[in-house]
Amino acid sequence: MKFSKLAMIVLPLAVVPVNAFAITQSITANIAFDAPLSMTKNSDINFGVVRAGINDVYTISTAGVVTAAGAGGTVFGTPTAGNITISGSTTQTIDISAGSYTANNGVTPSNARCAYNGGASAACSLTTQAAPGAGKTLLVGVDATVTGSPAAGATAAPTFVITVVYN
Amino acid sequence: MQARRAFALKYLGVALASALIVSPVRAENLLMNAHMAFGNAAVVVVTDTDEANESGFAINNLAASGSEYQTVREVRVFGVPTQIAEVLRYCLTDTLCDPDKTVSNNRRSLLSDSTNYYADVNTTAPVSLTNSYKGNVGVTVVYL
Repeated sequence: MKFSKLAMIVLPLAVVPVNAFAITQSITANIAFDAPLSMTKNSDINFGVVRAGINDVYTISTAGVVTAAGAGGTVFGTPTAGNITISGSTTQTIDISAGSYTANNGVTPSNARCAYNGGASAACSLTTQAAPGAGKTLLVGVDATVTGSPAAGATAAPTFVITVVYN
Repeated sequence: MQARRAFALKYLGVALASALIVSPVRAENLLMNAHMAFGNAAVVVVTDTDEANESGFAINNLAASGSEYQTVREVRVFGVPTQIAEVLRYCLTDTLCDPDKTVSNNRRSLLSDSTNYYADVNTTAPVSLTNSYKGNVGVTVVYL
């Protein structure tokens, strides 16, 4: 009877580890550094001067060439495509998109087209594009639908937003 | 309970602050403007093309209309050689003429391999004037 009582006291002590009241675990806090994305607008889009009094759909290509779907056309001026310099990481790929099209003075933009880093022109929904590094050029074209038969001397400046995102 | 709420609010604040800091770095937006202006196309109307005078055929009534503010780069007077021999004179107005007053054969022969001969004059005058020309069968106005 005395032995069993002693065993009840000693045995639990025997199975408890010596360091049961202190345990350590090493945790590594990883952190890496890279350049933030940035865009510098070198030029907005300029359709030049097109025919007054005519409703039409104009397209300016990423090369800056304006074409009209109907009877409209360029009267004078020097059209220019949008030109943006994207810079950031030298290793991280990016996605490029366009949206938030906003009409102005009866001219509605749509269907932006992008040519990034010397690549072919395509709908402006580019994925997994080359890391911009110190700077790569994005050329931008767009469609513009003219309504309201604008008078000679009228101007419009519709807008849209170009977005670039790291993958 | 209050301690838990304070803990949750504290870390929610940290998370929101982190989101505010990280977003502009990961994604960037840029507003693009697409400028467009509207103007009148140049229109050239030629009449009295059969009127003859001592210099040959003349175009005395030529009306050029178009933009009220855009200057023209050049005015071309052209004709088919087999129909009309030469451009005699061209002026944008009665007082603004080419300094030579006439277009030499040498000048016209620069495009001798073309079906049309032409002469051109540079000017900064508005195109929306009614002008008088001597020449052969047609005039083209080119905006600057």
